[in-house]
Amino acid sequence: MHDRLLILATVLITPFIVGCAQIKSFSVAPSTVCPGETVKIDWQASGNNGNVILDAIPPLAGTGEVATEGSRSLAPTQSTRFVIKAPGLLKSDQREWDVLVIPSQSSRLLGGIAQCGGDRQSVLTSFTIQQKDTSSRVRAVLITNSYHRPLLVSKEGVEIEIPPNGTTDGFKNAPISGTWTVRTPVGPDEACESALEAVAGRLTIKTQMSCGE
Amino acid sequence: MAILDQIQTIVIVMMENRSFDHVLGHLSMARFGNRKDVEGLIDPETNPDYTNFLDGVGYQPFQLKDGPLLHDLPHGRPFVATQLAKAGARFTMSGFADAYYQATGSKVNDPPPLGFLAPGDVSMSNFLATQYALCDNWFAPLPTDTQPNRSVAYSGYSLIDDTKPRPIPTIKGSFIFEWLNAHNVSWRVYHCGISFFTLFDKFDEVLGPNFRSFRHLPGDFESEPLSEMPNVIFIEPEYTDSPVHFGWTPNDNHPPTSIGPGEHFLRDIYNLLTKDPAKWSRTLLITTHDEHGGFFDHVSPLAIPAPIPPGALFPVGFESTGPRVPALIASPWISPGTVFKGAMDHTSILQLLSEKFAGTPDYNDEVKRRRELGIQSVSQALAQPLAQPRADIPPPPPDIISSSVELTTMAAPQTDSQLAFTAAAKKLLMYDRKRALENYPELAHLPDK
Repeated sequence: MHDRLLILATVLITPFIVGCAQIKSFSVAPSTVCPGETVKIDWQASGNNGNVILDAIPPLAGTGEVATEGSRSLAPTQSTRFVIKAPGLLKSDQREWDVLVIPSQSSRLLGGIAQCGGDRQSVLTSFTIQQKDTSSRVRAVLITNSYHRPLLVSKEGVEIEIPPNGTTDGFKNAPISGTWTVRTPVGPDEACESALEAVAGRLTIKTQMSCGE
Repeated sequence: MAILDQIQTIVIVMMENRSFDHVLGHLSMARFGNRKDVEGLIDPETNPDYTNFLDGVGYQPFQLKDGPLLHDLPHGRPFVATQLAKAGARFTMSGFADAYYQATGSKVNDPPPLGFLAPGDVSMSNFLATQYALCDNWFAPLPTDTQPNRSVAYSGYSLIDDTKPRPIPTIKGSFIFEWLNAHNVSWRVYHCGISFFTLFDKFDEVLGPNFRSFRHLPGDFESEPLSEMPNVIFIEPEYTDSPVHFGWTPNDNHPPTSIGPGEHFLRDIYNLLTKDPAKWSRTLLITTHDEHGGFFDHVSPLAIPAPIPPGALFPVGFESTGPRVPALIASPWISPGTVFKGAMDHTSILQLLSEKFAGTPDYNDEVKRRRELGIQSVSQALAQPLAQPRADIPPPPPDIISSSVELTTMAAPQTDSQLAFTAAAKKLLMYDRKRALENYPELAHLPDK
């Protein structure tokens, strides 16, 4: 009798265990790499009886059916979308992660929400590009100011002014990862709120990326 | 207003989950018409005013080809707050990529919330905007998801701030059917599949004679003389989140459903309404979306707060509207290419109904409060009507669906909205199974468990 109950419970519960698949975590690091570098793919899924698929677009050796939980290091030669799929009878789950391999698409916007402040009256933003997101070999060989007003860009103690619609190669030897500060001075007859309005509450720089040693 | 006297029937179509820029932002783009009179997107791929951020990386709007999306987009209250990305007193509208990553765990170079559609993918909306009137300052009333926004649309109030599987509560006397009945206004609902009104627990109405399948609309329009047509008609799409699709393809525009079927649905409605020029000359068609659905819009919400109404099930009021949504008005009394720029939200429709049928825009206290804070009536978009109805009835674009349609069986409800539809459908069956199956035969296929 006890065994029968156990079997019945198993029969009833099993579809729900294997039926509702869930991806608990999925990450690919770094998201921006140089040719030849490896990326580390980590995932954790549940509820689908071990049937998890790691896919790559374009196809990449080392992908395919994988364990429910795992980690894998792969070296994409071109920009790649990694997809993790956990099919389930009642509920499936899927996540995607794009990896940019330079130089296939070598420009990227960096920036953040801006505010009034700083020692000098200015509109500024500060943001950090983490090494888990971008390989330390990636350099910002050219930075473009798309605004009709000057920008002051600083990183690791170096500050460079970029004229309106101008460019600088002043950061070409430094890794793109790290903390950046971008600011634009408030004009003598300009309120900071007006300056903030003029940049739609945000500051962005366009970086031309390349791979250093 | 004299024009309101000319209108016999007001037709209201509320679609799901698309922002203004996503659907109609292309109108102002140089390569798609360059209309300077429309507050749409300008050079979206490069305009730094539109940049969204995630971990210091910037993302720009991009042209998205219509089709089924991989995921629904986040649009619950906390995610909308992330999307609006308030800094100081300013909504920067820079958090749509961030919210998408938070909600889906997917980190992609082209986050779908930043996708905008080209005219070929939204040819019916583009057609109505070009041939009739566009409201480019129409907002979802609340910065949250479907149920609260539809609650405001149909009553002026929302007692909830999220979407859950529960009956949507309303304030007595404020709900649209109660109001229309109290003012002796004839009305009807044409629905494809299960009606959204089922979620309001209005089962006697939903199972009553005023609710009819959309399949009856052509026959009713042909057989009923103008004088017998309802004053107000709601036309409902087949909802993506409905538990059973029987004979209809989801056409409500709710991601991951593509927008093509919804455009086809609008085209069917337009063709029906314009078939008889005499009836069309007395008709006003209003089509909008309940909320932005997680798609980017570059215009900050209006600073119109929504305090907590008595009996509300949430503790913190709203400080603004939600993002803009597409809103189009068609009538032969409207000049082609009209753009109405006044501030509007879903209570603009309630103002219109109240003006026409009660002689005052103040449908109830909340609608009045929003009007006093700047929300205008739909009637304002008709403030400069033509002297005579247009003789021309522009033909709609011939082929609407440009995206693929995937019909998949929903194995089990997964989202709160899907659970809400399923719960409401089951409750409707329990309320009166015979009548429920007569009105909604697809519910026979609803799983018991």
